[in-house]
Amino acid sequence: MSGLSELGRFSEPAVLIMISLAGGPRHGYAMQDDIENLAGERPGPGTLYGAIRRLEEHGLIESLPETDRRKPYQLTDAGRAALTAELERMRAVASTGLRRLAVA
Amino acid sequence: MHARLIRAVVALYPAAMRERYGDEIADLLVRSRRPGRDLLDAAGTGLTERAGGVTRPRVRGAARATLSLLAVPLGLEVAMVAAMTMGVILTGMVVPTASARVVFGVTAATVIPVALLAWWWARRLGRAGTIAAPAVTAPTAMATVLVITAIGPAVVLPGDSMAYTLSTVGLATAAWCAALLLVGAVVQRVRVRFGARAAAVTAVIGGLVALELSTIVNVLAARDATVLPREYALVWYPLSVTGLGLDPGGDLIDAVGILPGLLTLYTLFALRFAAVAPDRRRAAEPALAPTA
Repeated sequence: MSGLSELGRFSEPAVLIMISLAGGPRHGYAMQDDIENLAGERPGPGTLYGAIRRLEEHGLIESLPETDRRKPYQLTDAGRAALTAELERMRAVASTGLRRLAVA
Repeated sequence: MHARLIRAVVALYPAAMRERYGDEIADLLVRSRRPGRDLLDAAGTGLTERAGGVTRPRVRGAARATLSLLAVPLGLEVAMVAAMTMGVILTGMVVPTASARVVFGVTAATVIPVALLAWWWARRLGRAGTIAAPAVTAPTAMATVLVITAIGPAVVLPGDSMAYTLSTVGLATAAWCAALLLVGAVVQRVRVRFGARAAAVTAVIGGLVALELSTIVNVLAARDATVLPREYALVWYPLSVTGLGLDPGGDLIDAVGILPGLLTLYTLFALRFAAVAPDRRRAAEPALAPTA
């Protein structure tokens, strides 16, 4: 397991943040927009930065120098590997669920 | 969204997180499309983060710092009485025929080492940075302990043997505390707007005003105008701590006892403590200008 489950209630927003950053570095506001488009739900500032703090502490994302007074974040190599593992796990769980539904 | 509200929400976060992400959280709140929901979200996470940071060593550290702060007024009171007693004894041994005024002057001078102790203690406790809102907690804690010791019969009592009452000490201490809280708030604003030197000057002037005020309240509560004429009110404080000037009947000293001297030490401590303690709230205040 990638360790994302250790993030508790922030594990789901953390995955969405990492998916957002998989498309390239983004700052907080751009992440909110992207996640809203992706998941249909815009994360609040507290949820977003609660997850960002934990992802930084785990070395899965890192901040870049500020541009226009905003700090962009990007995935680290460890973050890319963790996200890949997490998405593969989700795909396995989803395909198992879908297969069982088809059987039923 | 209202800037003050945003600052209040960001202030809920632990200092480390505020410093790292405070500006970014504030920026998202400024630009929020659903301000009510986002404020709740940010406030909820702030409280969660703060609760998560409450560890046993931190609780122990805060308890130790609080006990240290509560020990200061008692320690200074005992040190002051010990120093004054020593001054009286030594003066009597060296100059047995010394007048009362000389004895009083020497006794007042013996408090100088205790003032240095207050200065050093404030620096040490203040730099530890473990007490929140130092400009508020120090005067409040000292006033509380002073009034409690005034109730306890076994503890050294400030005030004289004749006119001393709990109400006079309580009123004088409350006036001192209220004035010093006001001085603390003014000094903080002056420091932000005009720098450390202007803040230091404001602190000295404000401290003297607080001491003048508390002494006047003390005398007004203890003696009527026939004994201590009110037109001399402004010299009551300097007179009571130095023994200089005219107090032929000793009425002033009888009325206020050692309270003005003790409050002088407390003022020195409280203002120095607030000056050296790191202001975590101001250091981490977020910038609220929305970014493009």
